[in-house]
Order: sequence, then structure tokens, then C-alpha cells
Amino acid sequence: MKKYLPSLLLIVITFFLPEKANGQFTSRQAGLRLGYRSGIFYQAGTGAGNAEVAYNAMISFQKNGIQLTGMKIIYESSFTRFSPEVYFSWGYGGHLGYLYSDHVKAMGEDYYFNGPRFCPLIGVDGWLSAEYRLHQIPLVMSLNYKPFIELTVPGFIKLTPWDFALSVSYVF
Amino acid sequence: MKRIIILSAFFITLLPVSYSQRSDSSRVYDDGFRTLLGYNRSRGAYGAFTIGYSTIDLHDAVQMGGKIEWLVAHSFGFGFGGTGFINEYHYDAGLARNVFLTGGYGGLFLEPVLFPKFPVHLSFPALFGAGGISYITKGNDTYHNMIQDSQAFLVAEPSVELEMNVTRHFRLAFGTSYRFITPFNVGVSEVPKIDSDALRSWSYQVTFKFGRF
Repeated sequence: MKKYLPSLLLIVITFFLPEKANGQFTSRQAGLRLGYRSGIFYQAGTGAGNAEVAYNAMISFQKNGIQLTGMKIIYESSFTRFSPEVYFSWGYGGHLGYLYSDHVKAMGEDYYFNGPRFCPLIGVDGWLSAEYRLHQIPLVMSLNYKPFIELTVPGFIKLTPWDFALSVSYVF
Repeated sequence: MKRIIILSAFFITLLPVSYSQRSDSSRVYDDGFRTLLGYNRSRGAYGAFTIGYSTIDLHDAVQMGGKIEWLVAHSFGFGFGGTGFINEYHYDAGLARNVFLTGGYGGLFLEPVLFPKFPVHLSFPALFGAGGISYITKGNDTYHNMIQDSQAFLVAEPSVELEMNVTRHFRLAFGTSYRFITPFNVGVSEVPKIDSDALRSWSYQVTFKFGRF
């Protein structure tokens, strides 16, 4: 079952979520995040007054496990005065999942089990990004920063303030 | 008497007018409920990281943590976060190797803030959550940190912080907290196990908060 779980989750994110959200969201994008915690993401956004609010769902595969991250991202449209193509955003969210490994990293150290072990995890995330929207082609590139704190069972806290990444996504 | 009646009538008449002066957004939510914080309350959010000192199992310990909180009316925060800890490794003659304790806990933060607009003020963050502690031995030849035993616990950690508004979007807080822990025993069978009293101790921390307060 574990083998099929990533594929199942991808199918749900790619097909089910857009259908459910069809009437509410005005922009959608799907892409890759490449950085400390890389992953595949889907994002749907809508206007909210002077700002734009988006919901981002990302799936990552670290240490033979799966991590699902959900973020609320707020684009402050007032920042577009710098350039009409550049959007700055901030946000917050959380993640949960598991890893399957013989060691975990916490407080700057590696800790080893006697063998590989299933370790559930849960965490909270912050979000800052600078996004460049190409108007000629439906692509968005962003440099983003996602600091997070994560509790891994059996009880290791991982504080990661250096999760920088580059994202590329297709807008549809 | 007549003046009182006229004034009362005037204010009764004025009351609905004053309600109609509210912004559209507040009228949408005005469904008859009266709340302590009001409808036109401000909202904010911040992220923070913490470094601190404590004693765990009578040994010096370092702790680090982080949290994300939402703020209502500048004066009440709620959010999620966690703290990790590691105590100083020491030689255990029974095992003939170095040992130490490490772990972490996380959960819900509730934080009342007193006089938030004053440059120096008080806040009272309290954490309610769960966590785990692990008994680690250092390999004599590999120097690997081997997890020998782990135990889970519930935790409540009230704090008091002296908080400074350094800039509009940055606050610095110095605080102390105490951990209340549910019982556990962690360790290996060759030496006496360590109980939850090891974690029931005071901590002292510095917190850096960034956000919209």
C-alpha cells in the first residue's frame, strides 16, 4: 500500500482538487520546487481585495517517506510597483507525513536507530517569496524561503531556518 | 426631567445611526453576537525562533524552538510551535561510554500580551502539547549517536516574557518557563532509568519575533 500511496496522492491533487475548486479560484499553477525540501506542488489562487490569496499543496519525498505541505500564501499587490511582473508574497502553513530511515537529524546532529524505522512527522511552515510571472508564456519562476519547525516521532525537533528554493511552475 | 427624556431619545435614535457608520466588512459579521474583543479588531501574525538554557537530568542543556502565531487585537496570540533540547553528554561508568538525553515537544501556543503597544511589555505564552525524549549513547569507535530508548509524554509549559518592540516588525523577548510533564522512564536496563523529574525544570530563553503585530 505504501508503494502506491504517492501515486494516489498525486492523482488526488492533480485531478480532484481542481475540479472541486473550479468555481472559486481564478488562477492555477503546478510546478516543481527545487531546494532544501524539494517537491511537486499545485497552487490555486483568488483575488481578495487589494491582495491575492493562494492555497499551495506540495508533496515531497525525503528519506523514503512522503511529506504533504499545505500553505496559505498572500500576494500583496501593492509590491507590484517595483515591476509589474514581480510579486512578493508571504504565508504560513503546516505539513505532515513520514520518513523511513535508520537515522533522524535534529539539533544539528544525526541520531541512529538499530535499523530503518517508520517515523511520522508534523510541522509548521512560514513562507516568503519573490515571484516572476512571464506574461508571454504561462510560466512562473520564484525564489522562495520556507522556514519550518518539525516534530519527528519519537521526539526530535528539527528547526530549519534555511529552506531556500527555486520554483518553476506552469500556469493554466 | 424633560431634558433627560429628550437626551435619552436622542441617544437611542443615534445608536442605530452610529452602527450604520461601520465599515461594510464589520456589518457582514454583525450577526447579533457581542464579543469581548469587538468586530473591528486588528489581526496580525508572526514567526519566532527561540534559543534557551535549561537543566535536564541535572546537566546543562541547550534548547531551540520556533513557532508561528496569529494575533488578535494585538493582545492575544495563538499558534503552533515546538522546542528541541539536548543536554550535555557525560560519562556513564555503568555503560562505560558517554550518554546524553535529547528530544523535543510541540503543540498549541496561547499567548496573552499585556500592554502590547508599550515599548517594553509583558507576555505570557503557554504551550500545551506532546513530545518525546530519547536516551542516546555515543559509540566508542564510531562516535555515532545511538538511540537506545525513547519515551513519549504530554507537556504544559507556561512562560512569562519581557518583550521589547525593537522595530514595528521585530520584537525581542527574554523569558522564563517551567515544564510540567506526564510521567515516563527512559534509559537502558543496565543502569537506573531516568524519570520525568529530569525534564521538570525551569528554562530561560531569548525569543526573536518577526511579523505584523
